[in-house]
Amino acid sequence: MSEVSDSSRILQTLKAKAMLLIQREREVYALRLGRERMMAWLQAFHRVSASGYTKTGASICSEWAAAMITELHFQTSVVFQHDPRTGNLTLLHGQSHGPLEGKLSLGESSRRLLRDQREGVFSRSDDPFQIALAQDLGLQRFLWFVFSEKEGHEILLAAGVAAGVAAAQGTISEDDLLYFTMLGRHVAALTTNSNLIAELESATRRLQELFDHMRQAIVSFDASGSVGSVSSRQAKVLFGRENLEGCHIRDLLYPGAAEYDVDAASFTDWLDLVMHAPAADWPSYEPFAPREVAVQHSDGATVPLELEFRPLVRDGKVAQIMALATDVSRARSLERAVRSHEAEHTRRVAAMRRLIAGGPQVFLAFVDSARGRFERCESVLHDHARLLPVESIDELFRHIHTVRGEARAFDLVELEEATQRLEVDLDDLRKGARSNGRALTESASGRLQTALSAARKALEKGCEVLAAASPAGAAVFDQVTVPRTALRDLGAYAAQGPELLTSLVARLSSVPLGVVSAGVAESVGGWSALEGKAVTLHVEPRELLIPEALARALPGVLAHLVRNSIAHGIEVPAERRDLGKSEQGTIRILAEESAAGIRVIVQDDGRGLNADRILERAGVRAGQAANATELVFQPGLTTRDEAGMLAGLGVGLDAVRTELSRIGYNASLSFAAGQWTRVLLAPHGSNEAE
Amino acid sequence: MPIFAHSCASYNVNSFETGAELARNIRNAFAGRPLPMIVAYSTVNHDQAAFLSGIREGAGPGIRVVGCSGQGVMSRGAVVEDGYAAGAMGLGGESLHTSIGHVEEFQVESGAKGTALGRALVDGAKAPLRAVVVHYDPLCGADVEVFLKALHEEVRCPIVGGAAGEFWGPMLQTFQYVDNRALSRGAVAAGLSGNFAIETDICHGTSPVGIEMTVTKAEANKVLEFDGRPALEVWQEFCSEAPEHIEHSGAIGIGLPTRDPDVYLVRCAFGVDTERQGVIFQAGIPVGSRVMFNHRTIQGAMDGTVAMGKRLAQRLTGKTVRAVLGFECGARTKPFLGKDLTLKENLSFQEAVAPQAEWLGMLAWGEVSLFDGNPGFVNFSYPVLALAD
Repeated sequence: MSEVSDSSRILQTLKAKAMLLIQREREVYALRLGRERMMAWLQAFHRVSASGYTKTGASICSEWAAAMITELHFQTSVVFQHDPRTGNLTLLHGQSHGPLEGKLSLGESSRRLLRDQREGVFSRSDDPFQIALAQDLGLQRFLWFVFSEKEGHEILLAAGVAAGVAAAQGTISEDDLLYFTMLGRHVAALTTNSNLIAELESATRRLQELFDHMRQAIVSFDASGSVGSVSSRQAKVLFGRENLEGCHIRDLLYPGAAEYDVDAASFTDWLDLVMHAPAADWPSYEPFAPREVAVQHSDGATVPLELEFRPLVRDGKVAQIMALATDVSRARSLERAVRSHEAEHTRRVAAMRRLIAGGPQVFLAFVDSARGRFERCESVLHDHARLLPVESIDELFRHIHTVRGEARAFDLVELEEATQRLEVDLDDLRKGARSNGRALTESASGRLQTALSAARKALEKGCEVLAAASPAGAAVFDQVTVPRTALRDLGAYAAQGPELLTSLVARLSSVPLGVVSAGVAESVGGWSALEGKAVTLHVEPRELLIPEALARALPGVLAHLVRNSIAHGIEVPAERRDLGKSEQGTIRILAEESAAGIRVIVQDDGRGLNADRILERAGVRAGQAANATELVFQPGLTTRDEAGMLAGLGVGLDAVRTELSRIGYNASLSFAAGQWTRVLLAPHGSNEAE
Repeated sequence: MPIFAHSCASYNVNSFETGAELARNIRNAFAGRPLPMIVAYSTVNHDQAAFLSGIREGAGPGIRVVGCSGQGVMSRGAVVEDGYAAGAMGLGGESLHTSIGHVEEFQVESGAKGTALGRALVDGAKAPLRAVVVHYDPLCGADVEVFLKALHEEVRCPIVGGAAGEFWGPMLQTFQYVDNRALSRGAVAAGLSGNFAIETDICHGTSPVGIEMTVTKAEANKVLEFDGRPALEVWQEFCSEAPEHIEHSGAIGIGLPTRDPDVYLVRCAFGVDTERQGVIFQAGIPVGSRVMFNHRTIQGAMDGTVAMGKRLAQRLTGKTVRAVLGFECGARTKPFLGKDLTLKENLSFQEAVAPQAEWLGMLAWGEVSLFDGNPGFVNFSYPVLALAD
């Protein structure tokens, strides 16, 4: 029998789907977070650059300090003038959520650190020099950058979290240090270099460096849509062009788009609108920008790009727009995989639903029909071993195609694949038959026979899977669903009729042992977990038919007995290990037919009964004759001091005997101390000795 | 006017000034009406102590303050989850009375702390409590459900609220506000009493992924095994993450069934115990509980909020909504829905429920609302409290 049941396959599909969903979510969040941080640095870069056109060195530093707070959301940003000889610090600019100290002094350790390390991030607590600097500046978790002024002074830029504030500012990343340093150099160049052309050139270089570091494509374009000289390295890759300068942004986002292409035309209209509107209106127009485009490269590959646009404002107008494009191929591919898993899951669930709704006979009807179709196919092949008429090929096609469709409905993947291979062979044959007459070569005939045989095997394997998955085992193939009222009427009629009919009706109303014990089997895991034990339940033979009356009583009886076994009999894993037993306890529900009727045994491999304890609990004094195996059936007797989740109220075995007596059955118990406990359920008056 | 409320938000950088500006704004709007309490939220970029001092400066003496730090702050027309955001709402008027309480170190004897807080609220109230707003530290390891149960035993009225938060990412420290103090490892609450109408509701944004498991070993709010397997191993299998990265961003939670077949109490991991291979939640999950793995979905979150808006609007028909307090899970908003969708979700919701009402909310790291008539703790959700005449 196959170990792989349908339910475990569904579980695997679900797990795969869940993991894909989580993976996609993380991917999207990481992209979003990374992009936002980069955009924040770019905004800061732009802000400082823009101030360079009109402002003095001091104002540029002030702009930098403001950008660190409003764009990057640091808690504190400070610009100090530092005298390296004295260590004196004078606060030139600063922003924070609280007051800042105007005059500070750096100790020798801090001065030495700044001399050797002009830029850095303080995050470690084991570097005494860094700790000294953090203490001197009154900051915790911060970035710093130092550059020299003309007069021999130094300017120290620092941003981070103020000391003494129990704030939860996120970790400062390696990327942050890189961007911080680039921006620091930019500030240094703008404030110390009087040559404007050289400043702008160096700013362009630094912007290029910054762009190239990013994983997303960045291009900036002006009012005419023309792309500027600075684009990220990634932009060249994602847009599939080596030289982007001077290209029209429309051509990059919609390459090869016709004049009347609606999306491209809408984008052009939007561009025209935002470039001529006041910058303050940007928030109103931005939502109408395209969010995603699919760019086709010259090699035919299509890359989905998620877009974001940011304005670069000058004099109240949008002077340029930065377009940020993120390759979302991987996210899309994950989404496709999720959808495919969802479809697969839906298909499997639908197949199970069909089985549950229609009962196994729906599947059995398909099996009978498929077997018939395969037999007919074999007969056709046998009759036309060397010459196969086109109409016979068509008939084969019909049979195989029908089986394939039904196999898919029942999720029989192997059968579906086998019949698909047969269809391919038949198709080849049909083409050959139409062009070369009706010849069927030996090799073709052999191939068809082999494929047909594989399909038959796949069908039988499907039957095995059903039997393995069904609580009734192989008996499922002998089951049929009938109206209960009709069966009751038939029983009443049979009671007056001949013996054979009575017995037949009794069989019809009986239920396989596997079905009767299905509820217990499902609960064993939870019950044993409650007791901290590991237990396996075996039910044998699952196919054995249990008469209606016993079948009604057994689920409750078995539940009592199995719970008792778990609570009292089976030892905890550590104890079993010490006793040389397997850590996993075993409970068996065994049934057999006897002349007097069905006998059921519930046996565990636990510790057996503690006879002394039972006698003591029952109040039996020394010398009194009493049998522990009978006393346990007394109402209210339990060996537990306190009732647990599974046992301890002393009602279990009493309830079992009462329930069974109603249907003419009795329960008797035997045990071997330290080895096993066995409860036999047998009809009254039968030979109950085992 | 029986009850009066005024809310405002500020994105000022200076923490003291922010608090003072908000409180002054509220005081001016109240124009002499009774103002017993201000509810305040802020992001952790702010110096929390300075922020509260600012509120005291602006509000003057005698006005009680309660609130917490959040992953973000919601106000009328805005949801801000980064940088400097703060919001406050003054609650008062002729017929709304308030009482405030707090407990510290509430991870120790959480049940007793819940009882103490409940008694403080009841003792301080002028009339039977109608609703309680609660905030607490989700990082101290307290069993929130034990705490809530004890609190509810005392106050006997709907409890809503949210766990204090900070920016999305590493979980370091959260703050709970009571008057001039910013606590950590504490719980604060405000009791509302008087003659007014209240409505609470909650929406969820998750759907089960179809995998059911049984909690086979657990200690308080630490699950050690699912179906006999180490809980951390199972969690890692789903999240494909190293243990140190498994926390509320793990994107998956476990759902405990309620009496309503469509509602699961979804809880996500708030930490791991690598030594014992356990996963830590904000509330205990008893051994034997059947749980279903749940995952947030964008559609689920958006549809849930729309449906909640319709329900609330219907229940509030004919009443004048004065104030709404919202506590949206921080794992739903920017990290999941993104900035734009979060704003869209909240603007539509505000429009649907009470376009004219005062509005304040925080992005929480765990939510509290009513389930089956009792207060329950849940993640990935959005509970709200509406006050109306």
